Amino acid sequence: MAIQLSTVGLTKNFGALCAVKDLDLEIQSGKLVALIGPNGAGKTTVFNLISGFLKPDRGRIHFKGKDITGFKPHQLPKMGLIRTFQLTNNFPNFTVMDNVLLGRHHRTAFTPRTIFYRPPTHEKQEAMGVLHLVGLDTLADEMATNLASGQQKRLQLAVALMAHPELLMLDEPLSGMTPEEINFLLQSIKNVVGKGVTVFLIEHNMKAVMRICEHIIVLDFGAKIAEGTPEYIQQHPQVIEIYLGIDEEKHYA
Amino acid sequence: MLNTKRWSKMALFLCLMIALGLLPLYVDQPYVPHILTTVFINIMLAVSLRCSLITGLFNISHAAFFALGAYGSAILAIQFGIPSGVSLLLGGLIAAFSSLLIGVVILRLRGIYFAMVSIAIVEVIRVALNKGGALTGGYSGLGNIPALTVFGNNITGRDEFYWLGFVLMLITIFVLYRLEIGRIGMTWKAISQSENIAASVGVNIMLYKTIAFVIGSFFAGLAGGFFAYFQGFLGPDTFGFFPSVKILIYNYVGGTALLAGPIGGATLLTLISEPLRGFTYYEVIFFSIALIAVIVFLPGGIITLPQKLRLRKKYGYPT
Repeated sequence: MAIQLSTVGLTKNFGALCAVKDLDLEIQSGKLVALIGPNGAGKTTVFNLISGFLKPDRGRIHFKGKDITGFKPHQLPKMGLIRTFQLTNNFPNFTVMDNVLLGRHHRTAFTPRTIFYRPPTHEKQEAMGVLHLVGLDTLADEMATNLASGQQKRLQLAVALMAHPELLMLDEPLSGMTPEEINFLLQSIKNVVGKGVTVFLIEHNMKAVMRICEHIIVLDFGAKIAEGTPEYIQQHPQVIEIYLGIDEEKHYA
Repeated sequence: MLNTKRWSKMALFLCLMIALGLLPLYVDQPYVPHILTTVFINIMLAVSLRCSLITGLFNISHAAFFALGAYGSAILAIQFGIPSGVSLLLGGLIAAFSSLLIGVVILRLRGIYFAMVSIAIVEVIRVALNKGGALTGGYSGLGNIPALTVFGNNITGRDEFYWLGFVLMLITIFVLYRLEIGRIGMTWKAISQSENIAASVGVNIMLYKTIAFVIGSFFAGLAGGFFAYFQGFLGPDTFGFFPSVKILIYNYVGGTALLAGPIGGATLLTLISEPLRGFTYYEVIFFSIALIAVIVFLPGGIITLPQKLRLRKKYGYPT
């Protein structure tokens, strides 16, 4: 398996706070990888660093063998790296359809046809297909601002899919969803991986993570403390410690 | 029929255009085409500022590029003897080029900081025109602007200016309308809603903001060039902070949701404020009251009025 994304010695400080510390990551292409850790562990910072929204203080990031450290956020989608955000209303004043159509921005050429006219029917059909994948096809003409939070998350996934990602980075895709929606979305994500897309996600829903992910990376205070298969992570003493707290009797014995 | 409504709208629009086009032939009072030409110029300004506004740029410097277009084309014609029709177009290009140079620097600022710097830009340009010596005529203004010739036709009378202004306005509206519904306009609107998400799907934020700023300034400059020949005289105090704010108020009073907003706002406010022209204090008061009234009573601008009335008819008072 080829390594698609890797970081070496990635470090980011916010003043005196060390948000990410010497992080080495390797993500193999075609895998479903989760990044977990307690609140404030630096997971979203890692995403922001990789996707170019923050500049690392030290360390390099490689994507598909190319050094992308210091790239601007808008340069990465063209290479196949798409990310989503934790909290979002997408583009609230656009319809669901227009939101998804904007996802193909970097694939649209500058021609008089695209500059002076509305998107052609085949693009709309493509968008409709993507909306069907996330179960929002009946809401295509609704304004995005009117969607419920679970639907917003699904719309965000649709926008990202429309950009044809090779590596899809999802920041808490399951938050604010009902159990049915979670089951549906997990299946959608699995289908995406089945098509050869690498998915790298941050998630707090452990049941879901353990169920679908092949590889899990655990972060605490900006440093990687464990990685491996779900079974391995569930047994890892340090992981149990940060999620359940220290057993004080044992600790002071 | 599926498209009956659309066709009837198109027919109504065409009738209006033909009526406006033939108006000088049937109206004897020379004053009417003169005011309407001013309306056309203001519509061009309001519509071109919309490029910045839908991108989320609170741009208060629009009158600066109007001034650059006006002075640019007038100076080219007076000092360098460039044919007046060409200089009209060059006025637009001068404004576009200067907005590119300025925009590359100031578009890095966001929100209120951009707005503050854009106030500085409009004042700097006004002061520069005041201090321009023989080139700009300084405080006493720039006169002796030659007669306008477009494609061999002399534009001298009120009616000819009316028709030229009408055509320029239609071109501006048409081009900017097509741009707005195409991919560039959609991207502008996306940027104003969320820069982060737009960047995450590959939108080059700086590039699109610059495009919006430059295209808007080009049409402002074009309006400026036309204004220079229309007036025959340019004074620096025609351009500055308040004229810039006026263009913003056209947009907000008309409504920012649709392109019809700035068109309606500019038309209405120009016609109503016509008697106040020259009385700057009363003009400021009038525009302020208009803005406040719209914010309080019709937050979406006058283009939302038909919808509001329809709702009121359906559900009764209050809506």
